[in-house]
Amino acid sequence: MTHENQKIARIANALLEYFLSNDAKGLTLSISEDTKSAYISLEISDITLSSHESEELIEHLYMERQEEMEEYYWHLLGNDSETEEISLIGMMVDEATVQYNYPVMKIDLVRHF
Amino acid sequence: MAALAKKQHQQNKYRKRNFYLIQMFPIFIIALANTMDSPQNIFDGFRKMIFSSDILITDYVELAGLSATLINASLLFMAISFLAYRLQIKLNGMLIAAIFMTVGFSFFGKNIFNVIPLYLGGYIYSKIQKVDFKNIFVIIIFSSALAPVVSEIAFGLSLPLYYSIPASILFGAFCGFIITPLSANTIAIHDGFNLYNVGFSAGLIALVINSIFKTLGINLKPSQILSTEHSLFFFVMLCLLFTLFIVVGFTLSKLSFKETLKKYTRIFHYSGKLITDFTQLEGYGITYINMGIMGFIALLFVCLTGGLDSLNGPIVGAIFSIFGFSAFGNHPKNSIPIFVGVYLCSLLHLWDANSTTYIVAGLFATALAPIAGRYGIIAGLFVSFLHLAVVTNLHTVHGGLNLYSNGFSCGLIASIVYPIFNIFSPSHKKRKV
Repeated sequence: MTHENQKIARIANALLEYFLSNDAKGLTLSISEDTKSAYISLEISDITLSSHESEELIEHLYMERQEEMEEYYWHLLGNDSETEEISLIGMMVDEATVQYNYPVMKIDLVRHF
Repeated sequence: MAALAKKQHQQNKYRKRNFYLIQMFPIFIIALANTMDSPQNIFDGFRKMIFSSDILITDYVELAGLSATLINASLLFMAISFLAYRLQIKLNGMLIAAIFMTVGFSFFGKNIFNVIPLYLGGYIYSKIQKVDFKNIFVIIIFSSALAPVVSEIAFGLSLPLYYSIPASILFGAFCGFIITPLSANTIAIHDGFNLYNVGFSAGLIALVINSIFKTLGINLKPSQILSTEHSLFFFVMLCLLFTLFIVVGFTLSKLSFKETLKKYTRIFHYSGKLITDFTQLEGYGITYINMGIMGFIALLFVCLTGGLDSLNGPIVGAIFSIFGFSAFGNHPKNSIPIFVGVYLCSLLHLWDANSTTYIVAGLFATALAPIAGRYGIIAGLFVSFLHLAVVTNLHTVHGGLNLYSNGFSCGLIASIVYPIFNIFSPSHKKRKV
């Protein structure tokens, strides 16, 4: 639970930064938590990604959680980066769901404490 | 629920099998080492190794003998892999890099005595911060960069042992305690462009300790103990290891040669910047193939710089480090520009290009491979020159107390150059996954 709030804030920030850099419009972010998990949800009303880009986005977000490395790398989230940043988000969450029906995208992330 | 329990049982079974399988490697090396020397000589070698100050560069092969050095490397390998197994840590790129870097430095600076206080400090940090020890274990493995601090205080200051040994344990534990939070912060300074990030944070700690020593009138003398006798043995050993990894990687990939090659070239798209874990991104098969190929490229570099006849502990250690980090960032596309840069610098005759110091600095310059991976070949050539200029002058700063001196240099350079390169890089305007 160390720095848990900062980690959730960084995940949300990195997601926002990534989509804003990709000219996304109409972003709605919500964060909630219960005793066991934090839930981050992002809805985008207008985003254009090629099929290759959306596939890679899903691939990186669906990466297995890597708790063993978290204390080392979480400070990197939110800095300027490209491929690696989305992988980092994937490594910091337990569940990820991405739904993309052009131009609308919905991302749900769950991080267990 | 039953399905989950079955899956966990299956995973534990594989983990156990892999653990036993991986132990075959050090057991074979220990058996081999025992056939090459007498038990008495090995024991004497160990004694010399443990009671030396271990300041850079102390080649254990020369100091303690080949057999004692190989046994030291094997014991450290077994100890780390046992702890990782007990803590149920997944075998990911970072753990592979940490294990092989430790094995590499067990040829010149790390031994079973001087790493323990650092682990102890890390354990105390995890208890005080209420963090699971397994979540910081890999950083603690890297923290043994400061092992010479323990050895120097224990045996290098000519103090009575009943004072110096407890003091060295306390100092080492303190270093192990502070390295985790410090490393987490230093990684943000260079934004992950220095692969040896703990070398950067360890360098800062060593700088402070050396300054305190100097203030107290203690001036650490640089060490230059190097072996040249066992080049052929090391060459054959490394070639066998790299070939084995390529063969195992190819077998694990379960693809045809053409398909494997196509999948392998995918890793060239990654800049290598922290965190690029090839085991997660491309699987174990491709990772092991990359490790083997990078090992051969490092050997080729040593050959081109004329170091093949003098393969010693530090050069072998540096090759092992590249080998390990090829699971965690290094690949031919981002590393070859660095090697070429170092080789071109040798033509300037500014440094003694055949010396161990130059070759080792050249090999470790690959910590800056993410710069070449992100900003291109010219950037890679440029930072390799900067690294050689900086690292050859760093010894006076940390007094040889930081084994990852090259990581310190690469951290400084990456922190300075990446914001500047970002100004000219068009890629930062629009992100791509």
